[in-house]
Amino acid sequence: MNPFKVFVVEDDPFYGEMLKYHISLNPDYVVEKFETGKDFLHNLYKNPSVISLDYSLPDMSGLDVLKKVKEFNPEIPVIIVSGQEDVSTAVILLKEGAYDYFVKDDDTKDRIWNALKNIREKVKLENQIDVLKEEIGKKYKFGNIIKGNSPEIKHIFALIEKAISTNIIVSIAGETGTGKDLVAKAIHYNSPRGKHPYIAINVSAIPKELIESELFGFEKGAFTGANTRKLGKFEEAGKGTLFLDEVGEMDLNMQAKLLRVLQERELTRIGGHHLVKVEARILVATNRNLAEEVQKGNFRQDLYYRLLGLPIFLPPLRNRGNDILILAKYFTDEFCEENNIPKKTISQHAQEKLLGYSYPGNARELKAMMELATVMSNTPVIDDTDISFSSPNRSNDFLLDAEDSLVGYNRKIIRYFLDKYDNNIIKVAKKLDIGKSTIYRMMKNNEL
Amino acid sequence: MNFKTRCMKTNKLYDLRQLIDIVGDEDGLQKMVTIFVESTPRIMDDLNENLLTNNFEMIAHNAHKMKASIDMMKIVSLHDVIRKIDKPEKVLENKTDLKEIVGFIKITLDSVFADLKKEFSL
Repeated sequence: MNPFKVFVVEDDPFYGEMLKYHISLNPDYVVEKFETGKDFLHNLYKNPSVISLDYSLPDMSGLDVLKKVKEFNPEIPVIIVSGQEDVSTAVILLKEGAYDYFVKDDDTKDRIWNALKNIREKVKLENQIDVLKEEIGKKYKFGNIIKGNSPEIKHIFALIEKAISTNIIVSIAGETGTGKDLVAKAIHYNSPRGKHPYIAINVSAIPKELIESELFGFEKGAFTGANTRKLGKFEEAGKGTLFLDEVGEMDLNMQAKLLRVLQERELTRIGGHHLVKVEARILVATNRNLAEEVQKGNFRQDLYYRLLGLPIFLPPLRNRGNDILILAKYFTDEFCEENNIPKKTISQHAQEKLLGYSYPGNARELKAMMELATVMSNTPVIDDTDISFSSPNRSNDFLLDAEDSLVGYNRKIIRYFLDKYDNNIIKVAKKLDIGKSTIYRMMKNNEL
Repeated sequence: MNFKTRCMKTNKLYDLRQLIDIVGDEDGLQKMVTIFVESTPRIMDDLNENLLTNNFEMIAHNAHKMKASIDMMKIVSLHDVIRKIDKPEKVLENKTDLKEIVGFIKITLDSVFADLKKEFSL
């Protein structure tokens, strides 16, 4: 940890020495004393942790020195120590960003001592927060959270890179369990906004009567029960990121209000009159097809275009081929590590079983499956008998969505196998024991 | 006089107990007293010069500067006197008594300096 540097700026040599002596009683503090404003400003590059500043210096006023400090680094706390009990001066200095204002009297040294203690605690906590943020950032490096080598996933990586380097709104779509929230976190924590808050809100989880106050906040007395002012999620996110999950569930009235905020980049809290600037980046996700919802009249077209930004579509797990095995291994290893179990391998039969399933719950379902399989396996190898799907016929779910004609079922089966084997027509034809030309013909006729 | 006996109240114009409480040891006390004895006369000289030129603003500045040290040394006889001239508007209010006020401060401080020099062999 860096030393806690305290600069004492005091032109009275006796008082300055007294402060230096007193503060130095704490061996963790490194104290430097300056008798003029110019001398102090000349040494400001040393970036002190805190400054004790006499208000009346011979060459500059305390206010001028304070302004210079705040220009250099607004985060450095400045404690003003003055011989004057002048309330108006104190108010001006506090408005200019002084940490506190102490009048020189018998208790000054104790007040400074306590202030330094509090500032140091605050600095420690801020440092801890920075470390934690860094750790979260590392956790959400997208190579760490999105596993796979399939062309689909490589394409997603490329899109995330583009999202990170700009402030464009990103709309993430994909079936449940495909990792939309993880992509949002990866974008936030790997972008320059990563040090600011990441606020996620699931629109579908909040009653529609409350969503406005959740997003925009409210003033005290805005409605019955509004006993204090509450900041909304837009404000909480500050210069960070606001992730609106399941945005397709938002009702039309609220959509209009959201559109206005996104266009104007400012909002008014419920019951408030002042405009609040919106600086957060917006990421949205949905498992609905918003274009279809626009057609049906359930989603505003103008908001749709506003939110579209950079679309990232997360493919379902069943279309990601061997990524299933990479993820299965990753989830197994992770579970073993968390539970202090020796690592297990996955047998050939188990791998084949895993590849033959359709995963309606996507990666989330695979994770739960592999955790259960790890527990059920009595040997260092997970076998096919250890793996159980939530429904024995789930792999054929796609056939049971709705009743269909024989031709329709044929189409679905061939499409399913094409997805599964990365559109390898020869392989699919062989697996289904049909001619390649049948598949080519169906493709040509747009039947697939 | 040793460090402990200094902590007892005496009939001198100053009282070092607060300073002792802050610095905590004899070396620190010696250093602080030395600074006081060396730096305060310079401000006192400035104050006298400013009195001669009727520079009220600087008189207030000098008094303001000495105030904290006087309080720290617990020179109680100067506590209220120094506050009569620690702001330009107060200096103007007490314009007619300025010579007496500054004279009293000087006499008192000279006595304090002499006692301190003796006590600390300066």
